Amino acid sequence: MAQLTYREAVSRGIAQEMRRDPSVVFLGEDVAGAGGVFKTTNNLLDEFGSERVVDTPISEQAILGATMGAAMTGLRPIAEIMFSDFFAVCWDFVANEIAKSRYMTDGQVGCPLVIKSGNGAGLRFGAQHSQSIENWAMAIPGIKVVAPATPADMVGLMAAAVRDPDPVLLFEHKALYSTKAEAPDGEIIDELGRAKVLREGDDATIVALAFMVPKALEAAEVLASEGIETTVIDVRSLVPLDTSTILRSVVHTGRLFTVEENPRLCGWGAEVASIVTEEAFWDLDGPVVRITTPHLPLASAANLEDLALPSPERIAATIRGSLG
Amino acid sequence: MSGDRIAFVMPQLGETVATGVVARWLVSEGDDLVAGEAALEISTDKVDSEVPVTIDAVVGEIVVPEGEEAEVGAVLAWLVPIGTASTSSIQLPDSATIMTSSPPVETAPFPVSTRGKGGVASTVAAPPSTPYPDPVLWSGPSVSAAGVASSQARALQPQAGLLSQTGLLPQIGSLSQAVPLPQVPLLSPVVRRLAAEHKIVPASLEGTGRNGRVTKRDIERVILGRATPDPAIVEQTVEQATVEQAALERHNGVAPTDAGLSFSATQGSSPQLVASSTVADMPRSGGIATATITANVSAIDHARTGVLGRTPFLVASVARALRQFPSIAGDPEPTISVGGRHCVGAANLRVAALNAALDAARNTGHDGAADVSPLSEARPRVVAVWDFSETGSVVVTPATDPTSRITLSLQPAEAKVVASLEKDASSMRVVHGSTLIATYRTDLDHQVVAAFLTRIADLMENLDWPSEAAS
Repeated sequence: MAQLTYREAVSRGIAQEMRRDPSVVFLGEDVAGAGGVFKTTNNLLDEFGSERVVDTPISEQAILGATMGAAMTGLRPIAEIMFSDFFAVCWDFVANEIAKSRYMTDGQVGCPLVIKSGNGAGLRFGAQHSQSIENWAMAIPGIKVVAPATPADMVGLMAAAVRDPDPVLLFEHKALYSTKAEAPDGEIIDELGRAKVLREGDDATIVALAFMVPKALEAAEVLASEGIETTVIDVRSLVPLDTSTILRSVVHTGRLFTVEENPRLCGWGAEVASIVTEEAFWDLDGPVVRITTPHLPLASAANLEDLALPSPERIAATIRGSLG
Repeated sequence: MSGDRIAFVMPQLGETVATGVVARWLVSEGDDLVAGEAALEISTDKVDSEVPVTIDAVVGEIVVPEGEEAEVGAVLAWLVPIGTASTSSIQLPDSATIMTSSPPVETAPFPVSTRGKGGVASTVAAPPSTPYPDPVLWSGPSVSAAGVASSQARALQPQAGLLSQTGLLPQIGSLSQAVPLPQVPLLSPVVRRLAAEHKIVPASLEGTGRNGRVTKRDIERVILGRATPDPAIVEQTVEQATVEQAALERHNGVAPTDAGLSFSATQGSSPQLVASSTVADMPRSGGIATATITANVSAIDHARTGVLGRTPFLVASVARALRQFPSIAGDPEPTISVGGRHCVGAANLRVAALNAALDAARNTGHDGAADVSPLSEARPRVVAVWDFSETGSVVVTPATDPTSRITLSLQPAEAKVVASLEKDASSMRVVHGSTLIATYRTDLDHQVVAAFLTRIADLMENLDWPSEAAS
C-alpha cells in the first residue's frame, strides 16, 4: 500500500492496461508530449512510444472518429476529451455511432473503447468548462458510464473499462486530481456496475458520485456528531447501476438522499429516486430527497460556484431538516 | 338590522399579508349577488385577487371605497343575505355575522388561489433555512388554531381512515396531500406495511417524528417489545376497522390490499342493480368520489314525493350508511346538513320534514342485510338546510362546507345507457340514473369513501319506503 494521487492514478491505470495488452492505445489533445493539460498522462509517451500514445489535432470529432475506427478494426483505444463539456460537439459519434454499432451490426462489430474526460466543477473554470455531464451520458442506451471518486477506484475502473467489450465513458473529476489516498500495490482490477458502501448508519442512506462523495462523507461526519447515523454509498457506476446495493441500504434505513453535482433536472438521482420508489416504496419512511446543483449555468466566481454546488453544510442541513 | 346583515371583510390573502387595497368594486350598493360572484378586486404587495362572496346576498353598504387600504379582517361592506344564514357563518356576540370571503386558510379544504408566497403552502412547517433548501415534502401539516374557535377545531379533528390506521389498507393518496389539516398524523409507506404485517395500530403509539408522526423506529420498538401500544385505542380502532372492512369487502368486492389511486367497482348482488363508483384522488383539493344510482331512482321520482324530492331517501340512506362507516361519520352522533337549490325559503319546514323522514326510517323494512342495524336512539340529526345542487342540467361539484368531513351531492336523474353483462346474455338498456358525488377531506380514506357511496347507492336502490315517509 502506498499513497497515490487521483491524478497519478489516471496514468497508472492506463499504463497498467497498456503493459498488459499491446492493442491498447491512447490518443487525445496534448496527452503525449505535454503529458496532459492536467498532467494526468505524464510518462506514458516515454514508456509506450508515439505509436501507442498519440497527440491529435484540436478536433474532438476527429479524435472520436479515429477512436471508433480503431476499436472497430481490432484495437482497444482510450481517447481523452479534455473537458467533458466538449462532448457537446461529439454526440453524433458517441450517441449515434459508437453506442449503436453493436446493435446495428447484429453484434458483429463492437466498439471496445474508453473515452475518458475531465468532468465537473470546483476549479473556477466557468460555465463552459465546469459542467457535470454524467446525466447526459447515462441517457444514451449503448454506452456505460463510470465516475470514480478515489485513486484506487480510478485505476481499477479504468482497467475494467478497457477490458469491457463495449464503449465506456469514464469521467475523471477535475476537482479530485490533487486528492491522495492509499492504493494497493500491483494490478488493480475493478468491476463496472458495483457501488461501494463507504460508511454504515441506520438513519438514512446517502448516495453520491465522484466529487460529491467526499462532501457526503464530510456531511455524514457532522451528522454523526449530532447522533444521526447515515450510510454513504459511492455509486461509482451509473450504467450499469448497482441498484441492489442501493435498495438493500434503503430497505434498512427507510430514507434516501441523493447528492448530485449535475443540474437538478433529469439528474442521475432522479433515476435512482424513481427506482427506489418503484422497488422499495413500502420500505420508505419518508420521501426520497435530492440534493443537487440548481438548474443553472455555473459561475466562475469562486463564491458563486461554491454556493451552487452541494456543500457538506447544505447536505447535512437538508438531511437534518428532513428526518423525523 | 344588525342581526340580518353580514360583514364582508378583508380576507387573509397570504400569511404575511396584513393589509390590502381595495383596487376596484365590481358591484354597487343594492346589487344582488349570487354565491361565488366576485365582489371586488383586492391588491396586496403579494397578490392581486378577485374576491367572491360565498352566499347569496344583497350589497347593503360599501364601507371602504376604491383606492383605500384596509387591514385584514376590516369590514369592507355590509351584505344582507337572501334566505337563511349560511351554516359556515360564525355568530358574533353583537349578532352580526362575519363572513370571510374565503374560508380561513387553516381549514380551507381547497387551497386559496394566490399568486404570491404564503397562502396555504406557508402553513406547512418550513424546513430549516439553507442556501438552496431542497424541498422537504415530509413536513407534516402544522396548523395554527388562530381564527378557529377551539370547539370548532375539535370538531374538525379528523380521524384518518381506520383501515389505514390499522395498516390494513395502504393509503397511497394521502401521502401527497398538501392541504393543511389539523395535525393529521401521516403514516409513511414502511410504517403502513410494518403495521399491517405485525397487526399494530399506529394511532395507538406515541410518535417521535415531526408533529408526532409515527416513524419506522417507533413501529420497530413495538415489534421488538420495547414499547407498548395503548390498548384502549387498539381495541376501539380494530373494532371499528373490522366493521368497515366487512362493509368494504361486501360492497366493493375487492380485497383491501388492492389499493390504488383510482378505484372502481361494480355491484352485482341483484340483476336490477347497477351501482358503480369511481374515486379520483386529488392531492391538492381533497378527494372527489362519485357513485351512480340507478334502478329505483325513477320509481322514487314518480312516487309523488312532493317538494322534498328524493332528499328524504338520500338522507335516510346516508344515515344508515354512516352507521357502518364510523371513520366517515367521525362522531357517534354525526350531524347531517341538507340543502337544495330551491328549498332555502322553506328551510325550517324541511328540517322538520327530514327529521320526520328519519324517524320513519328508523325501523323501516330494508333490503334484509344482516349487518344493518336499525338506527339507534342516537340517530343522526338534520340540523340545517343549505344550498347544494339537487336540480339542474349540469353535473357540478357540490358546494363545500369547510367544516364538513364529506359533502354529498345528488345529481338530477337522467337517462343512462347501461351495459349489462350477465352469464346468459349481454344487453344494453336505458335506465334512469343519478350520480352521487362526494367531496371529502383527504384524511378520509378514498376506498372507504367509495364503499360508503356504493352503500348509499345500494340503500337508495333497494329502499322499500312506506309512503308516509315521503309525504
